[in-house]
Amino acid sequence: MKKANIVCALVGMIFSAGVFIATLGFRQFRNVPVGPEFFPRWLSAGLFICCLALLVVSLGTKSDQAAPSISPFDKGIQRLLIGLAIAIAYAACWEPVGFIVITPVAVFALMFLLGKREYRSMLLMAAGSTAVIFCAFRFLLGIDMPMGLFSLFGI
Amino acid sequence: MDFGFILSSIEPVLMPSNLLLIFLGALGGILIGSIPGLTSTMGIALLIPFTYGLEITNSVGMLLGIFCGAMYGGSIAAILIRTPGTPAAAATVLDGYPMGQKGEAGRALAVALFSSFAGGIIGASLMSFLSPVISKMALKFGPAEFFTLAVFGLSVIISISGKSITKGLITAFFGLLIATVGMDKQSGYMRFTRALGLMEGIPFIPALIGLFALSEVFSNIENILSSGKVTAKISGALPSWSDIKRIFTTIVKGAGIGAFIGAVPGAGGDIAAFVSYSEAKRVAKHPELFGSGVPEGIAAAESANNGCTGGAMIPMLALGVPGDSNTAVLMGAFILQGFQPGPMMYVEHLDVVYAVFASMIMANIAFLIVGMAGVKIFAKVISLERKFLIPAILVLSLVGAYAINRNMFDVYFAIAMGVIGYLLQKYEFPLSPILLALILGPLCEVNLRRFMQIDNGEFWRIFTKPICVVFLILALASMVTAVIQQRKINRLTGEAGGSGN
Repeated sequence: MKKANIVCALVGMIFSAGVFIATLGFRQFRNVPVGPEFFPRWLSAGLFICCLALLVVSLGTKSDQAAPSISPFDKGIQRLLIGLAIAIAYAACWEPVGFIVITPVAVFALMFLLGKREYRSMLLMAAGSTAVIFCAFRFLLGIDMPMGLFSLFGI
Repeated sequence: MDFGFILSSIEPVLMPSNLLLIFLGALGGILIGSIPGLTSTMGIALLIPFTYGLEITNSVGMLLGIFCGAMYGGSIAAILIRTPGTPAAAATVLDGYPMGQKGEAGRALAVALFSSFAGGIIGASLMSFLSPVISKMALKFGPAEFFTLAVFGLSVIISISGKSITKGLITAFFGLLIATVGMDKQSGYMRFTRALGLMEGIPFIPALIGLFALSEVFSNIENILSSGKVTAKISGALPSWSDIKRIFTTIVKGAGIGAFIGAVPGAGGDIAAFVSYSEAKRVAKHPELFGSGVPEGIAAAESANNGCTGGAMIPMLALGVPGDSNTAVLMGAFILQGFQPGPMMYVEHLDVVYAVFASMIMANIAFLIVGMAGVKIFAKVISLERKFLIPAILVLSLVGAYAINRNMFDVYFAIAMGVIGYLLQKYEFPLSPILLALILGPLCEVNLRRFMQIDNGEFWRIFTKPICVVFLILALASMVTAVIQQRKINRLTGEAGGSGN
């Protein structure tokens, strides 16, 4: 965890320094004791100090247990990246394709990714969860979900 | 006190048709509260059009049923899927979810239900008896008092930081920083971005969904093969007698904290729950167990957020100032019915005031009964196979993020926050401080700047205000005790590790 903490502290320090520099470009307001730059500037300084403390403490400690991996060669991370891609693609398809059409496809794909291979129950689950969520939001709560292709037919 | 008048005022509340409406409201509230992304405010707002034609007692009874039911409903998702159904249930996640993962989801739900009920009843009783007194105190709150209240709330961060206070502070500062993104409410200046979706600041509910639900979904996708099936033990819909004895003091204290914080306009159940949680941890014999799934953690959070429902009604009824967004919408319902909440309400419509108090009590009883009937069904969710459950949670989370503004930006933002939450969690950075920072950061900043504007930039004047001094002392005490406690916990866990070796 030591290396991971050092990397996290450095990332945090760079981020907070960037924010601090950005606040220097904020417009100054006259006759205002505390302007819009005050909070972000002090908060970025606070974040920098905390990250520095984490860095100093981490450098002073012995290396303990290994940090969890985020290597793209790790099987779990590969699965996660595919899952993330499915989630983004799923959201991107809501408006053009429609919630009702794309949701069972996404649910089915995710179950497949997670290692499920019982196709009949997967189909049932994909269709069932889509129907329940759609009906609950559309008819009980009155929230219109994007209909995509169905809107062409006036639905 | 004219008991005959009180009895005649509450009689309409006890009519079967009114009780049915309160029960329907409680059922709807629990459903709405348990779905991440849907809030009780939204539920009340959705139902107001249906109450146009009803009597004031029926209308308010049904809406209070939603208000109280949703406050409890938030804990269901917090315990089962690690996503607070409502912001007020954010502190319930801390111990509720670990308890569910230990196979005690039924016990956690029962503790949450009982604590919510007891907290709600105590809060409603305090509302009935103390509203004139508390409303006078709440009226004394200005920007300086709100700023110090927010500082006191932020002091809780240390006690919810877990193993590393430094990492807790880092996530808190990160949360406070991102809370400043978007248009500055006082000057109209755009800070950091001109992106359309961030104009009004960070979308809170999508952030909450991303940090807590989607981060867990991503973590499960990565580790699905190593995670076992969790089965929920359900022994009863209510906690055991030994659990009730164990959490009794926590509930009473939590309800008191909730009612007081709820009575302060602008401070809601989310702040109350965190403050109560921190207080319960501070006085606990074994604070090191908080966060690992202890009933006191759930009881503290749930009794406070439900105690808040009664507290929030005080300024609304007594002053005509809504305590939070729920009571703001409820006030609209009163006005629609031709009643203007405020001091004159106690003079001109005392019968309605008593009816509201009685409806509040009945709403709490209603969600207890509905909740008892549903505990077994709710707890079954956790027993579902994860490979089925995770895709469904992903869809529900994205729909929840979309539902608030019907805006695709919020959906992508929730996914981004999910990735950030996943990474932070992976490297042992606590997520709860970000949430607390997102809630309290804007309150803190806006009120500090207002106070400085009014007092010509002389910050020292804050120490001349008694309420501010009390809050600052409480904040300091909370931070010092939390640091001492964390050292004790680290020492104890170090010794346990050493003996284990």
